[in-house]
Amino acid sequence: MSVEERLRTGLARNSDSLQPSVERDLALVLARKRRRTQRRWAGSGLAAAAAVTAIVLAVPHVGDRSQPAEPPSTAEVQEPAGPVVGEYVVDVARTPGTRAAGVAGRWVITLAADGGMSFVPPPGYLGVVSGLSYRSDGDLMQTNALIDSPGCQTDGEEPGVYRWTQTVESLQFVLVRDPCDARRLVFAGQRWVPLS
Amino acid sequence: MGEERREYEWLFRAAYPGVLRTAFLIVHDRGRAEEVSQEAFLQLLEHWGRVSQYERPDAWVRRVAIRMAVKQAKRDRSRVVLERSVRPVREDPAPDIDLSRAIATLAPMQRAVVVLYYLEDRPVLEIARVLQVSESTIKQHLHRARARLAVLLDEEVTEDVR
Repeated sequence: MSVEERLRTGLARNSDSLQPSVERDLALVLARKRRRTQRRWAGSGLAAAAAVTAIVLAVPHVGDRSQPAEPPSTAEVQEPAGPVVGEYVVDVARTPGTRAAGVAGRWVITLAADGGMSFVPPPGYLGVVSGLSYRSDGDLMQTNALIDSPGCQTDGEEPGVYRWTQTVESLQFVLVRDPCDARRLVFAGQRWVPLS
Repeated sequence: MGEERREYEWLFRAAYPGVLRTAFLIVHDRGRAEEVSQEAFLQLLEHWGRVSQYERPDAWVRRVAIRMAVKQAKRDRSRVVLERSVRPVREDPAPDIDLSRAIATLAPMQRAVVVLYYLEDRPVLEIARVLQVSESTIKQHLHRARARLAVLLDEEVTEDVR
């Protein structure tokens, strides 16, 4: 066989052996786009706030200078949603346990500022992946994610509780308590990598 | 969902598999190929208002992905040289493993040229435009790549470049 013929047939075979996960990758691209847009808005918001601050500081005050400034009312102060807000991707390794629970594969997880949580699951997971929530309190997080997975509806749908740590590269969870096997497999000890 | 988004998603579904496969044959790593292809499609989405007016938006994203794949392959190649002593050999699931390994020894530009010429059947002029080099450079890459692959694979060289 000539090298040219080998290249034509061999490259075609090697190329065909790759089966793309088109829907998953489309979801990843759209999620990254949303995240970039949010960042830009946040950046332009900060720039606008800085500009307003600069103008306010530059303009001389015309009111009564002896009047002390009012503290902001509690209604105006918003509780920060916490640093875990964002979109993450986590690859759950294929083991007999993760396959049985239907959680093996790539997950894309969105933690919203309002405590909402949604998932783009791997093809094998058939449970509910939206309308879920989490609550972050210090380094503890409570969540009802994956609550409709088998074995997770017991004990009054008790939420999972995890201690989280975050680095530039990933968000990681250490199990505190969680009766839900599927959730433990997706959270405990996994590296959630932020989508940029 | 808006009409623009629907059109983008339609194009993604149609073009992504081919772009990913080409990137994969250049970078020789599925994860890297996915990163490169997704970044190219993200750029397409960022510029969708303009690029969707082009006659072939798929050609635009393909070109972006190929250039990024070549850059990625160059970075990986220099990293592999540094890490060769400590990194375990990765399993290659390709059906023609010998060919895959032989191509992996080529310089990234040569890999890209070989893939575009022999897999995608692109003419030299088009490859030169995609990779932003001259036609004679592409012919040189093809000549050298073929000679090297013929030795590695113990095959004969018989063809001339168009």
